[in-house]
Amino acid sequence: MGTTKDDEYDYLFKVVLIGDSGVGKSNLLSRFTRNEFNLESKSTIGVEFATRSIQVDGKTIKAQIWDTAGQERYRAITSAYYRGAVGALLVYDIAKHLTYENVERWLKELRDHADQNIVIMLVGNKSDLRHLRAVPTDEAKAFAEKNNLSFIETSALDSTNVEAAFHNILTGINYKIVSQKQIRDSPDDDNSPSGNVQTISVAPTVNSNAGKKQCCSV
Amino acid sequence: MKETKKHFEKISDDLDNALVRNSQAPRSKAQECEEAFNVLTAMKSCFAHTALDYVFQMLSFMHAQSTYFHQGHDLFTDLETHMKDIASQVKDLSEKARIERKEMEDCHSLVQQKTDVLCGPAAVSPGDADAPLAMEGYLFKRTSNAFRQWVRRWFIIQNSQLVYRKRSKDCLTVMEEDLRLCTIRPGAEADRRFCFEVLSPARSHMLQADSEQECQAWITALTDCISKAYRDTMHDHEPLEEVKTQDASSPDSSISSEASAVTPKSEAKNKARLRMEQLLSVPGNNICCDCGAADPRWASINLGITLCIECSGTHRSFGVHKSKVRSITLDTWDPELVKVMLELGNEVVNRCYEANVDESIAPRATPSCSRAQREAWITAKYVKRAFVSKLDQVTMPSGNKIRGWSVRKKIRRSPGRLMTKENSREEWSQSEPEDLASGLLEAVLSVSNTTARDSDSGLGGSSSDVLVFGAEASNVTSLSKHLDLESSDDSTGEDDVEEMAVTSWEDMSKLDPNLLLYKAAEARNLPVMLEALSNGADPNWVNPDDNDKTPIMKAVETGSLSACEFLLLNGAKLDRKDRQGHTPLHHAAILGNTGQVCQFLKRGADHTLKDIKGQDPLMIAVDTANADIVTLLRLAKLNDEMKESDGFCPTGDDTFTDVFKDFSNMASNFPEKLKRK
Repeated sequence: MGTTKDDEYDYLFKVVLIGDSGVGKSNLLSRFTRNEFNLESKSTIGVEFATRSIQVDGKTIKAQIWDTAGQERYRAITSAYYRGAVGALLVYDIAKHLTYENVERWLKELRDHADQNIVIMLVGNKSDLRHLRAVPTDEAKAFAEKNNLSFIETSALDSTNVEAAFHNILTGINYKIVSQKQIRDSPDDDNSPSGNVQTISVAPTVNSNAGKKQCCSV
Repeated sequence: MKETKKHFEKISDDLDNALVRNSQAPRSKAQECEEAFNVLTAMKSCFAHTALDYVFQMLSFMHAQSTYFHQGHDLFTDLETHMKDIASQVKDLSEKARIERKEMEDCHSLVQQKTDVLCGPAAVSPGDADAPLAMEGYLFKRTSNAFRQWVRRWFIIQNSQLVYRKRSKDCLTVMEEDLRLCTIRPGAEADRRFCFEVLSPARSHMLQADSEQECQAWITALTDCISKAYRDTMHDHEPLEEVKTQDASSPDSSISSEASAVTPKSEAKNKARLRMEQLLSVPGNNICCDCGAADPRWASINLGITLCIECSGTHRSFGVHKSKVRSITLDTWDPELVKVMLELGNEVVNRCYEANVDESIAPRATPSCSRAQREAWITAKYVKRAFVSKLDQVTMPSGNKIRGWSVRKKIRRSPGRLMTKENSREEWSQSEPEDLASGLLEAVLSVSNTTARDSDSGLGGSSSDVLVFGAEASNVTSLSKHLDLESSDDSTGEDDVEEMAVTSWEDMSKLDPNLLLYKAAEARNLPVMLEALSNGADPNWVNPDDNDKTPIMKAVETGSLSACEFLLLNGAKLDRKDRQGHTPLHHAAILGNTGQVCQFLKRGADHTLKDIKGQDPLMIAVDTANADIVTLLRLAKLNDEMKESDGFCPTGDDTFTDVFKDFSNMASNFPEKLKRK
């Protein structure tokens, strides 16, 4: 990780977008990476990739997002999707109850194929369709809590919460990875910057920031 | 007793924490290092004391145990039959207890001497003195999953394997099953101190020792172990066998049922063993292809033969454009490669390269011949191709005019048959007596002459003969079947994998090595392809009569991984285009042959090339909605982009490698899984 030379990011996180066909995975991705939205987008075949770098806790994180096909006949061999993924956005359509019911099946697939430490966020998309809502926010939130997932409702169409969804999951991953690296005590680090400013002293700010970010996710 | 154990474990954990803190101290901050070091030193002495207490407790426990056994001895004195057994057991036990006690005492003194170097008595096991090449101790290991955290594990070098276990669990995990394939180097690029790296062909492990000395000791021990393992291999030709038996005799801990992490590894080992049996069961492969020495352990993968170590050395000296040498036991083998080997083999290859042996050119090599003689023989055989029967000298024994020629289509072998050795053996044993008894088969060419005699009458009253290349595996009944099929042969469909099918008939004036290779590729007949190559065929020849296609494009049409692999091994290029501008990758994408897309991408095929309509393979795959091919092509694209932007990782992403490995295994072993509607 520390070996990169001229490229600009500190971490590269692979995040997969999963969920039923037609819930808006590809549009979430295009909204986040290119700020584009297309009402008539075609079904994804196999997988599509996009990347975007964001700042989290003073670090540059490059998100490599895998937008997978929701439709069964366009899905590739499953093992291809989850290799090396550290985060998953499990998307359903708040206006289609069936897509919410299938969340269980997607969770099972994650459990079967992904790393057990993977950070999962439940995303109720199409929140702009208020008059057609079929999945109450509270119900989904309760379900997410029960399954230890973070939760957010988004609209790729009007951009609501799209940025926040990706930002939250990347922060969550960053937090999980940094905490697992067993960060040093902060008092030690408080001493060192007084002597000379060092580029590596950004690590200890994680706790406070991550806490702040996470509160808006639930 | 248990309380002491708990206390000991608590202190151990404290020590671990101190160690973690110490090792995490960055190089740059001296003050922090020092502080951490002080804490560590304090913890070390504390740990040492606790350890002494613990050991003392253990000793008294041992005493208690020995008393218990004595009682047992008394109890069973009436039982005449068991008495002797138990008596000796108890004796052994108390003996052991005494020895152990002594060792413990040794340990104590050692600890006293070395507290500054070592983290505790555990770091030096008493066995070290008499087995200098086995080393064990605690190291930090960087986990290989996405989260890259560091964990502390007990590492052991044994039987040229590197294994580790958790502090509390008994199960061993094998990190590297054959250290001979690994290199050790100091881990300079890690952000921690005292690091070293274990590099194997597939992976790299970053490990961290507690101090500079320990790090050096590990590096030395590993390097010594590797060189020792190599020396052992020289003496023992059965390294896989060896590992196998050692496995069985190793402590019961490794066999414990909960050690699920071990099973995939041993499966891989079994697979390697199976592979060797498979390769050696191909006719002729049990002896060296060039000198006849027993138990060959090397192979030339582009020729499809097995070799002894001496001959493999000579092959190596030609360079990889002539002969690509691999170790059967030590190298990793892609499944496609094994398939190529299974389709050829020493007997088939020698039928071609030793068709007309003339010992006046070079005397035949023997297992014990001189190096010069060996080199002369092998050079004459493969470089000068002196013994190959030349295509332009083909004549019919009957003296009849030859009307035309074609190549026999090879039946597509089901993967199930390739996988299980029993079946593949059975298959070979079926063809073997045929080969030897019928006498049809001195060379691929002479075979065809015989076939031609049979098919003579089948050609509807024509008085001329026809040649069928690659008919050697046929038997008499299939020959007669050949006659029935004759009439429809001109328009043989591509999907027709009937055993006796042949390619369309060609005029004798067109019989040249290049067209023969082309036709053989279309028939996915590897022995005939070899024959053509040995006659100097160009693997990148374009057929002006067939859309400027190259042989590998014809091989793609058959869907055969082995035919493509064989051509690639012999210099076929993946960037050639036919008149439509299609590369082999285009063809594979058009036909939906996922296995070949994977194969070509693995070998670095350029997926950005466009055909004359401006379509690249990805567009074609999207149009045909083939999810697997789309995934593979996009992954390859992503991998290229990552390589470009990072510039530090020439091999690309791990995920990329893993996914491609999955796909090629699937394509070779379970092609039906990749079939799409």
